Amino acid sequence: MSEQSSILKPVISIAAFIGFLILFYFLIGKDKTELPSQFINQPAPKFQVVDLLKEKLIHTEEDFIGKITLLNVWASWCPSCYAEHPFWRQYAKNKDIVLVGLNYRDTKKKALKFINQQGNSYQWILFDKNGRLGIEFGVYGAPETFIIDPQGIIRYRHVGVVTPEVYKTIFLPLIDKIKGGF
Amino acid sequence: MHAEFGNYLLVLAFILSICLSVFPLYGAFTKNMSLVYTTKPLVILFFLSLLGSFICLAYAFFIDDFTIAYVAQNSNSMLPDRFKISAVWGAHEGSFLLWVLILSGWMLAVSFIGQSLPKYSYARILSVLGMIACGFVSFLLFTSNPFERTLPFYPIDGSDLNPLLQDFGLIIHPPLLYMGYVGFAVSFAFAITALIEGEWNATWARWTRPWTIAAWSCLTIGIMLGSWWAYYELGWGGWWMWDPSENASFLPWLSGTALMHSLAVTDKRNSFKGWTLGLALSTFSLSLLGTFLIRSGVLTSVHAFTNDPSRGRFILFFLGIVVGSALLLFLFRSSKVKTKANFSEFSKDMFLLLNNVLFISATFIVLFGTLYPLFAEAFGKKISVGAPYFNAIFPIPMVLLFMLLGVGPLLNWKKHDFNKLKIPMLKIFGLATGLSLIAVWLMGTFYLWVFVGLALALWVALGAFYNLTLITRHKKTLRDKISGLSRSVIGMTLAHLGIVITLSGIVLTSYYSVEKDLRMAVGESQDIAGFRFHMKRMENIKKDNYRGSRVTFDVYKDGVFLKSMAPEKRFYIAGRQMDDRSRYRLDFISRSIHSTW
Repeated sequence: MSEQSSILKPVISIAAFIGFLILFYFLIGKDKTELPSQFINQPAPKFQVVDLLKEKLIHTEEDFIGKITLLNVWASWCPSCYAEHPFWRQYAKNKDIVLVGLNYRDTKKKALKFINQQGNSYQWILFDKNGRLGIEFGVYGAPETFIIDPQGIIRYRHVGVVTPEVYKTIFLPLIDKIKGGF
Repeated sequence: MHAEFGNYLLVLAFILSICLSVFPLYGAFTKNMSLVYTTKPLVILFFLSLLGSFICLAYAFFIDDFTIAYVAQNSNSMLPDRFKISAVWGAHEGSFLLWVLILSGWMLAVSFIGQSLPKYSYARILSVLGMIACGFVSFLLFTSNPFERTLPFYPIDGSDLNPLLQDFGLIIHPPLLYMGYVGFAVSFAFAITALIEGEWNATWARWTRPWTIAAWSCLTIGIMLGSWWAYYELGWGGWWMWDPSENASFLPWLSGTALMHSLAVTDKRNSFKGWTLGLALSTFSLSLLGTFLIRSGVLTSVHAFTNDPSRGRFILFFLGIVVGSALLLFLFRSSKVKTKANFSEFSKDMFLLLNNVLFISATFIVLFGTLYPLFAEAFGKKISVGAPYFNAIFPIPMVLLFMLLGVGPLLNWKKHDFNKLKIPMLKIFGLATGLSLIAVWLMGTFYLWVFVGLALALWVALGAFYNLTLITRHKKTLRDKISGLSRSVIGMTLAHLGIVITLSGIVLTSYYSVEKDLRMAVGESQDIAGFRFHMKRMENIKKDNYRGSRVTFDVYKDGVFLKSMAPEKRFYIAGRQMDDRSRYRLDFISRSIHSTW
């Protein structure tokens, strides 16, 4: 073996290895909790659902029109929702975005207990007792959070807990984009 | 209290692993015997603290301590006790604790069984394992602590173990798989120590072989159980789906198989040293790669562990250090151990070399198919490389391997007289193709791949039996013949026959499976592939942690009642998750009846 090739071999191997590591590194950042679905960039489904707290009040998809809405899917049987809720409590102070709850596959008693314990951070709450509306939105489980723009179009769907970090890195840029008119 | 104690033990294990990576290694370099003698006590303490930590977590599951986030997410007060225990490794954090516990178990075994090793090598090997363990424990401690509490707002009840995991297969599948994955760390540590000492010879190979075979066997059983579970629980049906998570375990298996064969050559002939070293290093590296792929959230598959980028970065960093330093050591030190091999084209050595080449090509094929979609995604394209790619390419090295496998075991080391084998090999070839033709003819439809597959299977099986008769030709009675076989010959023959059975199963199920979607009502019957399915009744079932309904089918063949089958649809109360379960049974030659709904 010549002198040159004996140096070349380690150099190539190490360079290839480092190349692999760098490629992998960039893959890690990719967010797999963003579930692309056919519902994205489509108008919110039509519905008529009763409010959890005010029995006489019926909500429809029209209620999303006019402001940016975050639709948060939650349930009293979902432990992650308990973990997530303190963030929403904090977030409720934010006035230019409407935070709406979708109580998913729950009983009224338990749902109200959750709200009494955790505090109501939502402007209004859809009571989706048998999960019908959840199916319309393509909900897999709780928690999930949808961003709906002022035209009533679903712009984003997040599966899992929204933490301050998720909010900062994913939600805020998108909300700014919507505010900017896109 | 138990959570804090478990956490404390984890921290203790972390400190012990740092001591283990430093003291014995330093002692071995400075020839300080008092440091070298710390090895075994450190390993024992390390194992005990991890065992204690694991017991604490299991206890938390047992008493339904939902203040611990991990317990709350993966258990439920209604979950049967045996599943509460298996729920300990039902998700990322707990399964990683099991992972390091198993690693410490291997280390304990090495520290006891390996006492006859030279003292300095013994210390170095366990020190290298200590470093690996240190990486894993810090990963557990800093990014995926299973003992994290959800105080002050803790759920009243847990969100239940994923119903797919509430199954016996899943209780034992991960531990065995991990034993395989982690077991290759032992061969890795042996190879690293040999490189540090600049010496890699038959003696080293003899020390490494049993550990490699043990790890390989565990991995094989683990993969098999996983495949079985996926078959009846996920309803995947076939024998192998080329799911990324399956590939992640298959990569170290392929490389480990090559390693096992290569080690045999180094052991017996003191050659193939570069190959063996490289394979020992790459097999564990592939285990780490699999860990990275599955636990970083880079791959989406059934093993969807929660996606936390900090975890992915940590494993990648760890992988970079381990594989990088192994690579550097190999590049700069392995030239010392290389020897010129000396054997003819027709010899056991040559066939094992080809075996290595083919297994390594197979590893690259699977690696490429698994990683290519990921890299394409990095460049902004979403593509999936699925079963068609693997099914088209993977059989090529495998067919060649099976052709070699029929002959290889019969050959002598170094040189074999081809003429001696010509006549028996021709006979075996004729018999294998003939029997295969008859079998395909009996099955009714001719498929080329079934014919080829069965012929290859018979070729290998008959070759293996012929080999047994050759080895025992000097013994008179059958009893003498059997007792005269060495354990290594028995092991080899069993493994090769296992491959024969696997291959036959693969080709038969791939080509003769019948799958139909039908709508049926109670009292109706349907004929499928010669069987009559009569839907007898439908009932509701009510168990502790789920409700559901069950349909009973009576299966008839030619009007004769064979068996009742009862698939179920279950609704798990706590997690609000549905689960389909199919009861199946195996008929002769794996013509399986699979009923789902």
